[in-house]
Amino acid sequence: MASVSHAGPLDAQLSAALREFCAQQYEHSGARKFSIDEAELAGILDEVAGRCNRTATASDLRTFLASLCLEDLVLARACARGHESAWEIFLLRFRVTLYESAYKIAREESAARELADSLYAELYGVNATGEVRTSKLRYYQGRGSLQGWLRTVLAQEYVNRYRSTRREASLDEALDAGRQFEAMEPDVSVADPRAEAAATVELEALEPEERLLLAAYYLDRRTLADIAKLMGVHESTISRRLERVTSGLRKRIRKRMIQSGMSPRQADEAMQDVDVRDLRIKVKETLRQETPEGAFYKEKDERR
Amino acid sequence: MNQELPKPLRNALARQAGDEVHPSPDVLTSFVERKLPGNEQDLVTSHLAQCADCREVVFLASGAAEDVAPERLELAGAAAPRRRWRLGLSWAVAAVAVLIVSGVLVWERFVPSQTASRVTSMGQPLGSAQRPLPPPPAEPETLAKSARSEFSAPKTSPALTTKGVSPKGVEKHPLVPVMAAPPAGESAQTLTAFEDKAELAAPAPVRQNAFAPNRADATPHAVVHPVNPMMYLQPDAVPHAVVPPVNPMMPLLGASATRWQWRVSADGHLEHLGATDEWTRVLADEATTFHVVSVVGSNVWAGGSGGALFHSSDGGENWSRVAIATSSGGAETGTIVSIQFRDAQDGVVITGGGSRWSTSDGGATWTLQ
Repeated sequence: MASVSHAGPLDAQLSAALREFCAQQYEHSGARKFSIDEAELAGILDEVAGRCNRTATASDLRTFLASLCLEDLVLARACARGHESAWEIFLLRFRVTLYESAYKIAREESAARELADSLYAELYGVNATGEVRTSKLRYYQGRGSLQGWLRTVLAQEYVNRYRSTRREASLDEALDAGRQFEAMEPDVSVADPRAEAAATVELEALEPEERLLLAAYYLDRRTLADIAKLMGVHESTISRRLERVTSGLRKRIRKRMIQSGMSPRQADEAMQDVDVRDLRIKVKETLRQETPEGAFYKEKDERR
Repeated sequence: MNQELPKPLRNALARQAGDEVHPSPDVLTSFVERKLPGNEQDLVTSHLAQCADCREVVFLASGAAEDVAPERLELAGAAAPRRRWRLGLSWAVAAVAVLIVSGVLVWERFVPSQTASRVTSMGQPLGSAQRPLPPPPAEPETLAKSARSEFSAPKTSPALTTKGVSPKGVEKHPLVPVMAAPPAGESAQTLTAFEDKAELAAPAPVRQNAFAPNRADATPHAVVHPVNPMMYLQPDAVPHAVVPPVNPMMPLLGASATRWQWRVSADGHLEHLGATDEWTRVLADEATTFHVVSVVGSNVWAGGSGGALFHSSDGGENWSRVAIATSSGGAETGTIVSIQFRDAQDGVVITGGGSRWSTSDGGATWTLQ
């Protein structure tokens, strides 16, 4: 049995809970057919639980372990180890899905194929230059389905690529457009700092889901259908919620501005719906929530 | 809602600083699949509100979880022009319906004495048989061969058998192809191969042609077959399969026919094709990733992650969760990847771990084989 290394007084209880779970689920997990014994399974689960920092109590650990997609996790780890039978199953189950998902993400045949091919190479554990590395499947933790994880990794890779190509292309585009010596346009959108402060405070007071809703709809221009699908509710629910959040927010911000010394008329003027196009400001630059270079999630190359 | 946000508010929204650390793909996947515990859900939601890149990722991943786009199916060389065919069919059906309604109105106006009897005849609930049932659409063995060639895994070729047909009542002896279980050791490969094929399975010509003899009967005046004709060709366990309404007369058969259309979506949702020709999610409250749905008569069985097994005996109106009790006193928790029922009582359920459970009393008790 692999040692279960958790610091603290709960070590024994956690180890016992983990062993108990492994004993119960070993047969159902499909680990046997991939030549993964019970001890190895315990090691995998120990690592996953440790990474997710969900080992406060034995009960928590049991709940967490029960929530894992165990069969997918075992399959991914078996693939990462190069088990042929596991790869056969993986290919049969996910090959088509992978390419379909890549197409839906990239919306273009060649880009989709390139995206899926590159991920395949990483899943096999070989990078673009043929250098052997750890299979990307090694990082799958089983918290969501393997199919969903593959979609997320594809999407992440696509966003990474898009962001890097966007930076590279921007200068070329500017040169092509003959705007290389274009002077920066002055930002004339000087808002009252009291209005900005009131908006910031009230925005922070919103529920996380409400803020996500606003950002997705007003910043990203997502459709109600897209947001509804992500949140698992009907479009009309999203529509109503948006209406409620924005109207409530307007009222509270106005009230806060008046409390900070602005007259009702000044507050109303500050709250006017200003069409940013009229202000000749760069909308994208104003709204963009740029992520710092290199901050996007990357797994550490951990070899065991 | 469609109006712009006030500029101070929008600026504040855009200024929200993203965290340095982004959630892992695992966590984002769990978020998309709504499996995160409450506190973690809030943390991730909060991060997403601030991080445009992670929002992009989850929306792309969520969008990619939709059904396979028809144009992609065509690119994969697996699709017949189903949508165009269905579109054309829907127009044809609408035209026929208009003609029939007009005809009935004209008939009612000029021949009032005969109308009453005709209305009485048409007023029978769908499924009520007043004439002898039409003969089976084709020779069962022929259909079984077609179905076998279309759905079975390439190597294992599970035996497809059929039960006998009684001309007196199909409900008692449903002619349902039975997908025999693969060998225990090969269950995963067999099923996944099957799933892979089934996902891209296009409505094969044999399906449409098989019902050609029935088209003449399927007028509004004809007696509607009490059992969905699709059942003759529909495998009783189709993991992740989309079972399209390929019967050309389906719109005329009404809700009693289309109610048999079930599928498991790519993201593990159980879905039902309603009378409006739209897929509706069923058992949405259950935190189960479904893998397989099986239909036998009015009995619908659906299975998925964590040993979740659901049964409806009334075509999906009401559901009950079925626990497969193990000898140790617990319940089966392996993912259910195959459900095969010969009739309402006898069936076999297979888990991803290879466990094979059988029942002969409609799921009340289970035996590990």
